[in-house]
Amino acid sequence: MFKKVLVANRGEIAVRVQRTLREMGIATVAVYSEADRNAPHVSLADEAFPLGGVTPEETYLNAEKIIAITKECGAEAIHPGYGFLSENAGFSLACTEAGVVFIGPTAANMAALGDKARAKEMAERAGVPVVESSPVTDSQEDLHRYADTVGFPLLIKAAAGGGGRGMRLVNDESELALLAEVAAREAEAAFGDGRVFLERFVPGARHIEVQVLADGYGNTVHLMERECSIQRRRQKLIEETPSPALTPRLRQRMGAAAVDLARTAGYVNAGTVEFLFDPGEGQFFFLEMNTRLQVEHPITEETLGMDLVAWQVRIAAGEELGFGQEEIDPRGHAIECRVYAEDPYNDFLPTGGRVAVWEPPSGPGIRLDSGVAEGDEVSPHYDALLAKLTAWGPNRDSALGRMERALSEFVVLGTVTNIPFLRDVVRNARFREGEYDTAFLERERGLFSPEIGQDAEAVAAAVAALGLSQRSAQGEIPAGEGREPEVRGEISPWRAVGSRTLP
Amino acid sequence: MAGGGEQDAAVTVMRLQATYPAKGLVRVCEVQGEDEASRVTVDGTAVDIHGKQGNPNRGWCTGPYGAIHSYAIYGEGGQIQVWLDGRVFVFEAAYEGAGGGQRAGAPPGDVSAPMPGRVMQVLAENGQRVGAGEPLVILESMKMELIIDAPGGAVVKRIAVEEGDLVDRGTRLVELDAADEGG
Repeated sequence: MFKKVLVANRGEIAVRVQRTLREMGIATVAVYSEADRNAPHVSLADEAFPLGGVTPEETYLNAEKIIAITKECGAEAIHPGYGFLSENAGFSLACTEAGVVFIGPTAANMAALGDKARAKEMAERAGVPVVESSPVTDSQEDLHRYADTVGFPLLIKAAAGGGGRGMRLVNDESELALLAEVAAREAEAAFGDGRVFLERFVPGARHIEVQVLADGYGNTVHLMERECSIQRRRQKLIEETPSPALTPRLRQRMGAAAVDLARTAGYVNAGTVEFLFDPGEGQFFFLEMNTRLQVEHPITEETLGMDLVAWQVRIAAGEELGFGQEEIDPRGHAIECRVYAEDPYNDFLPTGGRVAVWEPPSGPGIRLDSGVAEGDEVSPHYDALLAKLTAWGPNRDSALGRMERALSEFVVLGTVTNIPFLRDVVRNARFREGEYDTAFLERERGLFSPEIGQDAEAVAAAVAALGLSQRSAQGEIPAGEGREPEVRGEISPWRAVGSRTLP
Repeated sequence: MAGGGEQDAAVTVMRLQATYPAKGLVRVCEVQGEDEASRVTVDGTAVDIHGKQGNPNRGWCTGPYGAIHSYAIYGEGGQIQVWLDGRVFVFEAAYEGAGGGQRAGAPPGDVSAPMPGRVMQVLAENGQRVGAGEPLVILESMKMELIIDAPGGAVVKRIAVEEGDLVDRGTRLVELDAADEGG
């Protein structure tokens, strides 16, 4: 087993990986950008090295520098987390050449499956149904030609990467040129590869994925599914396992298809096979394979009682799985909510600012994976994910009850977050019934203008009034700012009216 | 402290309005007492607030029907954020006559940045006639691009930004002349 591992990431995933490494008795090495000097993933590590600079290109995408630090500090392996260098076959290869173990699939796996078009070919070879799509291209002309033959709506997708970057829904011909340009640029910025393709858009579809795990000795198992249909901007917001949409037979077929694909590809380590599920037809189609740890892996860990990061490390160190498919025995239900510094009532746009108050919940069945601490600035350079809140319960109702309760206890002030919105989704009647697909948030418009009782707002106003009077008493609110309360009216926020007896 | 000190209780009166998640009513609040125990009367209804010792920004209060609410306060600039039972409100001081909706903002004919970011691409030109939903400007933030569309049919009076500009939330991007229907 390794003695020292470098974690080439930041935020919650760097913290999450370090926790497992520490539990395994492995020393941890962090790297950090200027903006992350005081981040939890740095203080938690045994050693930490600055990457210099703040942009992703200068820091967490700087393969050369990260490998140099790994060699210098004597770490034997690199865990890439997700995002950044995690799906970069060139980085994996460079690690191998430098004599460092890349904790993840082989460079060949990544090259074959990371390219979505090649992955589809692989799926077809494995006998897994795929969604129709155009060839990958960097030519606008090719896209228009394909669209002409199949019609709209269509999805534009980046050939590389994931996470919704470079992905746009095109409703008609007039939108295609601009959206293709935007998608290509986003893909280029995020993955260094601006090639895109068009894919048939299946309305009413659910997004269900299967976790696979394979060792270097030909043992491949699947670790059940995750339903990820609650999405905004084609990015996941809430995930749960098991999926409320699958019958045991479909679950078994989907799992077997994922294992077939992984075996055909000679896949090693943890990976996720994403499917589009058409509930009307009861059919599923291969979308893509993510050759890394997924953001939403904790729900699988909670229902299976397994540590996926620990298995990634063991497999990379050459250990055998030592268990078979029949030993995978999920228990209960788990759900994850992604807490973002973004405003659901303003198109989910990032809010930034400072995490001035941070009081996360706890209690039975609650797990928090976070990468921020109270007082931290939310850097505009990176993803706005603050934390992942996971609830486990013996059944779906109890897991949702725990999630709703935990979201109710979660206090974050300073930066605006999506926590109240997440709670409204978890409370939503259709969501409770398990009746949702990837267009759920576009349909449930009521979630975007939550009904707030007049009493609740009045009580909040009372609390705000107390806060404001304390702030002005302490001189924290400047009297000037172009407002002159005295001349603006008899009642002003910054003027006490003296002694008086209240009725 | 609260309740008993009737003779010398200083009362601060202020008018507050919720600005988030939605614009609320202007409420007249009278604050009496301080720190650990205060009574705030909102439009005539009393709310008793019990702040934590040494940290009145966190505590609990009882509302009109005696139900207990947990709260947290954070203030920045002229804004007060209140977390109450899992929901977050932002309040601002409202002045006499602030019935609602007349905060200083961009005139209705303007399109401003809904988030901080960088101007990636300018798609419209001065004098151009645009239809509702027609893309005007593309902003980029955190590697995601946001297409800013025209809110309705109009003529582009002036493009207020250039490609590469860094903008704050609320920065005017494009001035539109909605009145120009002719020609």
